[in-house]
Order: sequence, then structure tokens, then C-alpha cells
Amino acid sequence: MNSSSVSIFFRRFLCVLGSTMRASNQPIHRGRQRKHCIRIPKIWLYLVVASWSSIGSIAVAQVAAPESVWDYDPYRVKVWVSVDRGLPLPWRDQDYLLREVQQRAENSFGAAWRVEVEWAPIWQHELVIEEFEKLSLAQLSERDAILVLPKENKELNVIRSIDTAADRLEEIHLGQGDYDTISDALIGSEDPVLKSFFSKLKPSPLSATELTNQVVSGSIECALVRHASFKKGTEKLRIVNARLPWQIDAIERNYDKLMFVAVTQEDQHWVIRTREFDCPMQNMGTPVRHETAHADLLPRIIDHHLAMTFTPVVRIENVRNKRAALRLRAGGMIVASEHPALIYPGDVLVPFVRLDDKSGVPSLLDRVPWTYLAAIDGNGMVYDGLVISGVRGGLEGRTNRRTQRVALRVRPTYDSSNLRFTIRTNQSEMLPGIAVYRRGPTGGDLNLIGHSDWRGVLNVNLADRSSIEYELSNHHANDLASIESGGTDPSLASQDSPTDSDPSQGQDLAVSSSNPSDPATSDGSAETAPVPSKKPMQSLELNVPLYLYYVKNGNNVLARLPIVTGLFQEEIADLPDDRRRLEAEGFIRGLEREILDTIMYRKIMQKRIEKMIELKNVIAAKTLLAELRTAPSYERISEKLEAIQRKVFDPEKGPMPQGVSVRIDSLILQTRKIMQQYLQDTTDRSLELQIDELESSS
Amino acid sequence: MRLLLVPCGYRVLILLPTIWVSCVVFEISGDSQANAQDKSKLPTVPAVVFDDTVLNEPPFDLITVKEDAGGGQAKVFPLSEQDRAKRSNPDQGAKLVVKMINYPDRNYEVRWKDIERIDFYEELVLAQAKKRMEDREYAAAFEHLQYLLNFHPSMSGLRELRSEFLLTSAQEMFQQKRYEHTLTVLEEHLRIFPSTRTSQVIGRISDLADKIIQKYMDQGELKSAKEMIARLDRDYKNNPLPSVQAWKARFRADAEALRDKAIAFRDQGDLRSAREIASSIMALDDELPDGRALLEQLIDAYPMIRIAVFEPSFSPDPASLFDWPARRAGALISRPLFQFRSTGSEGGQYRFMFGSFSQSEDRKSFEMDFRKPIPGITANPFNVSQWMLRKADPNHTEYRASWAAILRDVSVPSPDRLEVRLRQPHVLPHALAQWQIDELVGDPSSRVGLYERRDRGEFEVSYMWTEQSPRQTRQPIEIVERRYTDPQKAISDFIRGDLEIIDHLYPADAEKLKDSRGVQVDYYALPTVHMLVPFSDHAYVNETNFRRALLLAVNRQALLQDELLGGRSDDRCKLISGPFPLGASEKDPLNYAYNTAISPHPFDRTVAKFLVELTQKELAEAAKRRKQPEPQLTPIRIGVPDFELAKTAVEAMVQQWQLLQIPAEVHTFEPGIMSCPRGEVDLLYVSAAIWEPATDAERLLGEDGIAATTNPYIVQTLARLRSSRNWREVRQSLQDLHSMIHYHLPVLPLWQIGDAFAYRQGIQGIARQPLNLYQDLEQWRNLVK
Repeated sequence: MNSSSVSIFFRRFLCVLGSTMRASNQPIHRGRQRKHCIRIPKIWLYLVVASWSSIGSIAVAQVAAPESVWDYDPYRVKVWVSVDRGLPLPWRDQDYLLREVQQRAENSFGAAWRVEVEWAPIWQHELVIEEFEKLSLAQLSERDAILVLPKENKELNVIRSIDTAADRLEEIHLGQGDYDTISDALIGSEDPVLKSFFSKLKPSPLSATELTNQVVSGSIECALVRHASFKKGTEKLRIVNARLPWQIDAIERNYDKLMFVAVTQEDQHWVIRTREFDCPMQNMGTPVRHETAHADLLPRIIDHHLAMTFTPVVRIENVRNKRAALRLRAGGMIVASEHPALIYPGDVLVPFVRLDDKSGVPSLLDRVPWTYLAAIDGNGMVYDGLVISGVRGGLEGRTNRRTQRVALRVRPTYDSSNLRFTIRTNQSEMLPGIAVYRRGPTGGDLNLIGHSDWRGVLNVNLADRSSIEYELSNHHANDLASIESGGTDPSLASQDSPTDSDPSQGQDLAVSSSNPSDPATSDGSAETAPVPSKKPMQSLELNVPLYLYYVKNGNNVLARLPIVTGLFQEEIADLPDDRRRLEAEGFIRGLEREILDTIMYRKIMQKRIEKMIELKNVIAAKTLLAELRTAPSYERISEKLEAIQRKVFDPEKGPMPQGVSVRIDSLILQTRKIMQQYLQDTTDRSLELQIDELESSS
Repeated sequence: MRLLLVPCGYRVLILLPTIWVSCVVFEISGDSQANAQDKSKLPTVPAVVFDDTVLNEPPFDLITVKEDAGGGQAKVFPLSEQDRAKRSNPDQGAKLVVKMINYPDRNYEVRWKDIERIDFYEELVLAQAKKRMEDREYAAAFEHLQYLLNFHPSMSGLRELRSEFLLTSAQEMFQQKRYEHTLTVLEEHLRIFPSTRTSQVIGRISDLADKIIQKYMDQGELKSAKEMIARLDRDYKNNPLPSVQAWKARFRADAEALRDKAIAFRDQGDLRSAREIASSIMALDDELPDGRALLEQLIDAYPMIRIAVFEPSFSPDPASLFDWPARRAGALISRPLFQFRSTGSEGGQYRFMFGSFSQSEDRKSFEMDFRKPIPGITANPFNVSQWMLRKADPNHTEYRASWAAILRDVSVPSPDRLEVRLRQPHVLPHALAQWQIDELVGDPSSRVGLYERRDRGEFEVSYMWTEQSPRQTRQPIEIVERRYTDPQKAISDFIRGDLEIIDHLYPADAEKLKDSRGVQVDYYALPTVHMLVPFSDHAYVNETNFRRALLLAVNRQALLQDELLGGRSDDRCKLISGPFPLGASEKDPLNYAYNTAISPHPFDRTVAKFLVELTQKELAEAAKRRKQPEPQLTPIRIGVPDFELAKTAVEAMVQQWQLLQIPAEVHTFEPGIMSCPRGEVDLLYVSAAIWEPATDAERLLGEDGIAATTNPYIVQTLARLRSSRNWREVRQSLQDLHSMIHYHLPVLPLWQIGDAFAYRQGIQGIARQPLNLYQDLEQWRNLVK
């Protein structure tokens, strides 16, 4: 039995093992005959994973590595349901909604989800209902309780969680309201740590600010206050996240996804809004809205929208030559060919990088800017991905156990996206008049789609789905086979490679200036164009409108931005400050036109004078020569160029942005060369001599 | 026997320059004639031919030699007065010494007895004149006569010939129905020969006068007819022309009939019709008893002012940048929130319609005080603030990008105050808020202006007093805008008294009208700047080099001077190199935006041709690179508003472009239409009122502008202008913008025109050099003069 068959066996085993028949009637992936999928009780799942680890040591040693858990570790999902107060749900037992959603979610996602559906905490309820579209981690965290400790007391430095707090502190002071909330939340909890912690809580009539002041003054050792009421900038205090189980800071650590469901009513219609929060990447997804007149459909609609809102996650492995291997989270738990947690060829994913410190707190956590991954092909667990990026070195980099590179599938929900261009060094400054061109992610015709308005904004309408061209890559096929068979993950093998760069670096937008006059030829196509190869090219239509947008300011291409239209309402591109260069270019290009006219005029006059000399018409030749001498001379145009130079380098305009003066100098030099070549000639003198000669000979 | 005087080939030598010929000839013949004491026998030719050239040749006398003395003729320099006198009774034995025209350095002798006749030069000319008259070549005959009158006025037979000439040519002109010319000739005859055929001539003059006056009347040129009657009446006071007397009587009768008709209308209570008719009475006969009194009475009862316009207004907007009729009519029926009043070196003066306003020291905000309500209009800080916010909302139909770009927020500190805060300091934020109050009111039935519109057919619109505020005596109750398609017809009606004002005169007409009695010609305070705006995706027009070629190919100076200004020069009308007014002089505060260091593109057809070819080549190469077909130079469609100056200018430009094989065609818009959807024409002729360049640059070239551009250099310079914090920065930004426009030509600047209007002196209260016709309309009074 090879490793691949072990995997298949394991997946079949999981399906058979469960006790609940799945509702799905989808054919099994890769054309195998459809089997019924089974919902697996959690305990069984743990046992299986544990036992499989030991079996793996006999069958395929490598499978027991943590990477394998990624494939077989279901998403830990918490669903918070908030129903607007006073809305009459049609069921006597209000919790029926939760149970029904839970059951349907388990059916929909099967083994890929370990889901808990519950009412949103009462202190988050209003926020979820009122601010659904604007929800952010910062807002949600404001309601979390934190421990406030004096910095001066070094003995308390060991306190980094509630268990050490419970262990080291005699009393933890908190407001009466917070005490009551925690007391209610802990009803029925058997957790000894929580019980011990609760025993140290001492309600106080003082406000959060007063309690904080008491900690500063040393009257009390520790206070438990809400994050929102903690005054930032208090240098004498240290805060410790309480991470009580219902708090966002705990959920963010212990779950993969937090799904928000808000049910409200507008004009006699039920409005269901769902939204996903990816906990590890702290990414708030785009909200999805649905209206219905039938309340009894709520569980079904919520379930449907949970599936719509949910974004599968892949781990990015082995990035090389604009290709990457993408390992699907819980891919091993999915046996259906159509599943909300699956990704499909043509799907587009947005990558994230998370770099944790020793205590597991992210020191870097961000979406890799202007980068997408297109899933080309895969086996349901591992996919071949094409990197489409507008930045250099966005995905490559050192890999270690504290660095995660994952990607979330995207699904556009807006009709259009606004591209906003700002200046990197001062984001309040807008960049109007930026020309934006579009082409396919891997090539194709370049079309002008518009210019940014006075706000620096260009609205990009939803385009047709784009296509990519890629070459069939042997090494990726090998990698996939290797990973599938439990071979060494090449990305891990190269994790300490000194040649790789840190993911925090290389964020500059890819800019080419090789031939800035034509974006079609200055796109730095090495980024996207296939490496010359005899390998056959394959074409694939993407499932979303992902295109490359070329951003051009005057004759200079400032950036190349891959964008999925409709994914975000607004995409902000911070561009280098190119305004001084553009100003110089405007004047210099204009002057060049004047030079062109002058050159042309001088040539015409020269021909006319030569004709007159040929006809031995001295008077006419002299008249024309005098006329020629009124044309702008090299010196006069040179003065104009110098005036432009003085204007653009005027110190009153402030410091010149980095690199701009070199570009301006280059423009000036180019113009001066043209002038020297065509205007700094001795035509006048030569003609004059010829006329003199003619005059004396006659 | 013919005298061949020259030993060598004369006919060859005669071809050479005279002096050289003379030298050579006498050098050769010198020996053989050494004994002639520098005198020779007169050489002749068989017959001198001078038919068409007699006047072109230097004066000469013609000597005909008797046959027995050799015969032939010789052209000699005119004889002295003494020799001339001898012609009638010569001493036959004496010799006449002459100099030949062809041999001026030598004297020749001919005996009087050998001379058959001598024709003096003037006699030859007179003979030619007679011959030309016989041949009905009157112009040539006149030329000969003119010579004789200048140099030989007392010549015998000349007087008779002159009389004959005048009468004959008059007869000829009459047959050709050139009555004015005939009249002139006959009057000339009468003046020169007052006693020759007097009654016949006067009778003919009377007939002619009748015909000419009738023609004027048929053409509706009452002014010309009346002027002619007046002149003839004056000139023939002692011998009145019957036809003139008949016409005077007819005018009087017509005037009386009109007077009676007007009285009848008045008595029926139809004051408007009575007033309309009465104004014609004075034009027909200003001496009609009671005529003036009746007119004054009717003007008192129904003051009405009739204005000739050439473009109707469909969307009145008192602050429109490029729509002349909208600006004109907008001032009647609408009001802007902020009204431009006058210009200055640091921006214009503005009036806030509902009270006063002030700008903060740091120019980051301005405040409006609503303490001067306008009857019938609900305006307060609350609804105006909402209006301002709507204007800044990109999703709202009333959105104005130029306003949104400067507005931060608004607040209402008290019920009668509104504060507007800006994103950054701005020198004239209120200049961007010249919005029509109609938008604020929203109710079409609300009367925002002093007048309300009432259509009266295709060619006439009336604006009636809204009666929201009390009307002063002789303040116009009705203003009629009458549309004309022919400016000459409008001028004629104006002179006749059917109109009180012409709102927009062709520059050349303005000059002519200045001499008319009772007419005042004035200029608007600020000029309009004229330009061509690229208005489509025409492959060639989109290329800067081609646009430069279009400018270089047209002799704009000559076009302006000769075609538009009728050959005169006017400081108000000049070529421009940018879309900003140059003003009348360097000190004109209006020119703060104009970069005087930049000269207009010169006229250079050769360079233009080169630029066209260059564009062609560049486009072909670009198309080849993109594997697309090469774009063809299709005819450039030029959209032109239907007013005389624009049409004349564009037609002239099209002709000049065609010399370079640049095909172009003129698309004249329907009357009153100033623009069209983008893409329907390739170039649009725009005459814009850029009176506040600091903000109008944005209104012209910005996102909402008629010449909206995406040229990055222009867009960035506009952004810099928008963020200018003081007037120094504003001026610098505008001058830079001017440079950029000159270089990259997002518009093709042509010229600035000082626009004129004319009004009858009976209309009082019209502001001197107003911004627009209806400025200070409240002061207008209708009088009789």
C-alpha cells in the first residue's frame, strides 16, 4: 500500500466510521462512485487522529508530522447568532434556531467543521447588530476584560495569564457589573483554573478608571477592567489579556473561524447577514446579506449563508518560480466532490503571513499585499497554485514553525471596486489623474480603463472572469506526489535557506521603468510572463475577475496591481510620490515639442537658403538667413530648460522625494542630448560662408 | 523710302535695356554721323501702334511725315509750348528739332514742310476716350478722361465729352439696374453741369430716387430709405424731387395710420399691442403731431423692452461658463447663490444672495449670514447646508467634483449663520458655489428671479415681471427676447425702432453701429475667450502633435484681424496662448492667470504639414505594434454654436486646414445649443467666460468641465491650483497651468473677444460695461428719445 492509498483509505474510513448519514448526494471526488458521507462524533475523531498517528509510524512515518494534522484537522468554528431584540421568532423555544443551525452546519460541512453555534455574548450583541458591516477585531476586543498590573512590582511580572494571576494574587478588583457578568458566564463551569480565578475576584463600587488609578498608586495589586475603559498611554501599568473563554482574545486563539450571524427585520422582511472572521489571520470577511419573508426558513438560510461566507484556507508551501503548492485545511476530511470547504481549479486565494513571537502573539500579521494565488489543479488536499503578484518577494521567505503562510479563498460580493491612489509617505494626499490599464493575470491586451478623479479614486466595474496561461510544471507535479505520499515537504527542507528573504521585506510595488513610455512594453513581464520553455501551455478560466492593473503617471509606470474586482469596496494603493517628476516631465515634454518645431523650421529654412544659393540669388538667401536667425537658438532653448530645472528643483517646494531627482536629471539629460544633436550645429555659419562666397564670386 | 537710321539690327537691340542699347547704338553709328552736329534726320516707322498702351506709355507726341519725304510716323518727346504753338502756322522752311522716345540722347531734325501732321499726346488720349465710350468700355474711357481732367483740364472738347460720358454711362448703369450708381452719376452731372439738360436730369434723379427708396422699403431697410429721403429733401430744397415728396407723404400717412391703430389698441386695453405699434411711429415719422406724446404715454402704461438675440436660451444659468444665452437669460429668471460682481487682481467681488459672507483669516472656512431674505424663497442655513453637502456627494445627481474637492464639512452655529469648513485653505471657495437657487428651491412654480418666462413662439420669448416686489415707474414690465438668424436684419430692425437692444454684436458691426444716431454701442466688461475643445476619441485629434498642427496651420492673426474685426484693430480682441483672458492691457487685473511670457503658436504651414505627417507615422507605428489597422485621417467634425462669429471663424479655419489636406467639416448646432454629447463632434468651438481663472480653470478643465481632461500634467497642475493657499501660489499655479496647456493643448486657444452690445439711448439705467446684459436690471427705465 503506498502512501496515496493510505490516504484514500483513511478518508474512506472516516466516512464509514461516523454514525449520522450525510444529506449530501454528491459523487465522490475524482469520479469515484458516490458514497454517503457520515458525520463523525468528535470523540471518535480525536481517537482516530491519535490512533492514526501511531498507525502512521508503521505505515508511513512522515504522515505523523504536524503538517499532516493540517489536512485532517477540522476547522474549529464558533457561530455567534444575534437576533435583534424584540423580534418574534416563530418558535416557542428560542434556542431551536441555534440547534437547527448547528445541525444543518454539521450536515453541510461534515467532518471538516467542528462547530459551536451559540447566541452572541450579550455585551457584543448590540455591536454585531448595529455595526455589522463595519465590525472589526478592535471593536470586538474593546469589550474584553484585561488584567491591569503595576509595572513597578517586578514580582508580578510572572503573571501572563489568568491561571498565574489566580495563583499569585490575593485579590483581583473589578466593577460590580463585570463581576456579575463573569459570575453568570461561569455558571456550570467545572474548569478549576476559572474557578480559582473567580474566587480571587473582588467586586468594587469604583469605576474602571478609579480602579486603574488605584493600581497606579499601589493601593491594590491588580484590577480587571474592560479594554475600552483602559486609558492608553498609562506608562506605569502593564496589561495582561484575561482570555476568558467567551472573550474575543480567547476565541481568536482557540478557534479558526468566528462566524457572525445577525438577524434583523426591515419592512416586514427578515434580513439575515453573515460574516466570517478568520481567527489566525484576524481577517474579517465581506458581509453577505439575504432577505426573506418567511421566518421558518431562517435556519436553512443561515446555514446556506454560512457556507457562502466561509472561506477555505490553504497553507502555502514550496513557493518557486511563481508557483506554489497549496495544502487545503481539513482537506483530508472532505470526500465529496462539492463541498463548501473545498477549493476548485480556477479559485483565487489571497495570501496572509503571520509571524508569531515566542508567546504566540503575532509580531507580523498581514495580507501579502497585491498578491493572489490561483489554484490550477489539485487532488482535493494539495493544489498547484500560480502566484500572481504585484510585489517582489511577497511570498518567498524563511519558513519556520512560528511563521504561517496561508491563503483564503476569495469571492467577490460587490458590483465594483474603487481603486484609491494615495502617496506612500502621506496617505492623506490623493493622486488624481493616474491612468489605469488592465490586462489578464498572465498577459493579453492592455486596455486603458480610466483615470483617477480628484480624490485619487477610479471605480472599476465588475469585469468578465479572466483566464490564465501557465505551463505544466513537472516539479510541482512531483512535489504534489511527494507531499501526497508523505515525502519531505520541500518548503520545510528549505526553511533555513539563507537566500530567502524575510516576509516583512519586499513590499515595494513592482515598478518597471525600462521603457516607461509604453506600459505594454514596460510591465516587467518577467513577473507574469512564462519562462521561455518548450513545455506545453495550459489555459484556465479563473472563477473570479482577477486582472492586473497597470498604474501609470505620465510616462512612468508606478505599479502593477493584481485586483479581484468586487472583492473589496475599496483597494488602496500607496504609491511613491511621483508628483515632482511628473511636473518636470510635463514641462520637459512640452519643451521637447518646441524643440521639434524648431528643428523642423531650421531644416526647412536651410533647404530654402540652399536653393537660393543654388539659384545664385544672394539677396533672397540673405533675407532667409536673417529669418532663420530669428528662430529659437540652442542658447534660448537651453535657458528655458534651465528655467524648468530651477522651477522643479525649487527648494521652496520642500525636499525632493527619494529617487525623483535622479529621474528628473535623466529627463533633462535626455532633452539636452537632443538639443546638442540637432540644435548645436554650425548651419547658420556654414550658410553664411556660402552666401559670402557667392557674393564675392559674382 | 524709309529712313533706316541705325546701321545694325535695331529690332534685336531694342530688346535690350534702353540705356545699354543707346550706348551701343551710338557707339557704332558715331563715325558715320560725326558731321551731323549731333543732329540726324528723323527716323520713322510705318505706323505707331499705341492703341491700348497710350496711357501706359510716357507722354509723347506723334509726328506723321509726308509720303514724299519718306512717310511713316515717329514718337517724339512732347514738343515745347513754343513748337506746339507753331503747329497751326509753321514756317515751312524751318526745321523742327525733336528727341525720339527710343533715342533720348540724340536730337533729330525734321523740316516743317515734310510734316503732314502732329498729334499731341492729349489729343491721342481724348481720341482713345471717345473710342472707348463708343465701344461702351466706360471704365477705360473714365480712365482716359481722368487723365485729361488732371493734366489738361482746359483742353478743347473735354467738357462736352465729360458731359456725354456721364449721361451715357448713367444710361448704361440704369439699364443694368444699378440705380444707386446711376443716381450718383446723374447727381455728379447736375453738380458739374447745372445748366445742361437740367430738367431732364432732375426728372431722372427723381425716378431713380423712387426706385431706390422702394427697394430699401422692400428690403425692410427703413433706416436707409429715411436717410435717403432726408438727404434728397435737403439737397433739392429749391427744386424738390416729386418722388421724395410722395414718399414723405406716404410715411406720414402710414405713421398716422399706426397712431390711430395704437390708439385703438390702447382704448381696447391692449397696451402691449399699442406699445408695440407706437414704437414704429417714431421710426416712420418722428415729426408726427402727437406721435411722441402717444409713445411716451404708452411707455408709461406698458414699459416693454425688445431685445434682439441670436441664440435662444433653453437652460438658463446665470453663472454658466460657456453658454452665452444661458448666462443672459439666467440673470432674468434665476439667481446664483453667490454672484460674481466685478473682477480684481486678487479675484472677483462676489455677492451672497441672502445676506453677507466672510472668509476666515486662514482661508480654511467661510461663513454666511442669512439676514437678507428674498421674498418667496425659503433659504436658511439648514437647507443651504444640505444643498452644499449634496453637491459634495459623489452619489448624488447634484454632485460637483470641484466643490467636493474643497469641502470638509458644514455647520450651523446659529439659525441665521452657516459655516463652511474646507479641506485646505482656498482663496475663493465661494466662487465654486455660483449655483442656481432654483436647485435649492426645487419647486418649479417658485419665482426665483425678477421675471418669469413666457414663450411666444419659435422666435420670441417674453419675460414678465413677477410682481413679487413693487415695480418702479417705467421699469420694464416685459422684456422680449426676439431671435434673429440674420444679424443685418436685427440691425435694420433696431435702427427702425422695432428693437431697443441688440445683446451681442459681431465685432465689425459694432464699429459700424457706433455712428448711428440715437444708438449707444458699449462693450461687456470682460471678454470671452474662444477655443477649440477636443471632444471625441478621434485618433488624430487625440495626438498633441496633430493638435499643434491644427493651430500652426491657421493664420489666426489674419483671421481675427480681417475676417472677424473687419480689418480694424481692437485692444479687446487678441490672440491668446492659453484659455485665460489677456485683458485689454498689461495692467488689466483680469490677466492674473495669463502667462505673458508665452506667445501664441505662430502661423507656420510648413511645420504644420510636417507635424501632420509625423502624427500619421506615429499612429501607423503604434497600430502596427498592436496589430491593429492603421487609423485613417477621417474628416474632423467641428461642432459650432449657431452664432456668426464662431461660424465665420470655423469656416475660415476649415479652409486653411484643407490646404494641408486635413479634412474637416462644420456641424452647426441648432440655435441655442452650445454643446452636444461627447463624441458627436471631434472639436467643439467654445467661447467661455473665464472671469475668475482661479476657479474657472477647474470649471473648464476639471472633471465636470466642458473641456474635462485626463492629461496627467494638467490634472496635477489643477490639483496644485486647488491646494494653493494664497494668491501668490494661485498665480504661480495658474501660470504653470497656462504653460502646460500651451505645451500639451488639452484645448486649442484661439483669441479673446471683447463682446459688444447696442441699445437705444431711450433705455436708461443700463450699467456701463456690464458683466452681462441684465446686470443692474432693477435700474432699467424705458424712456423716449
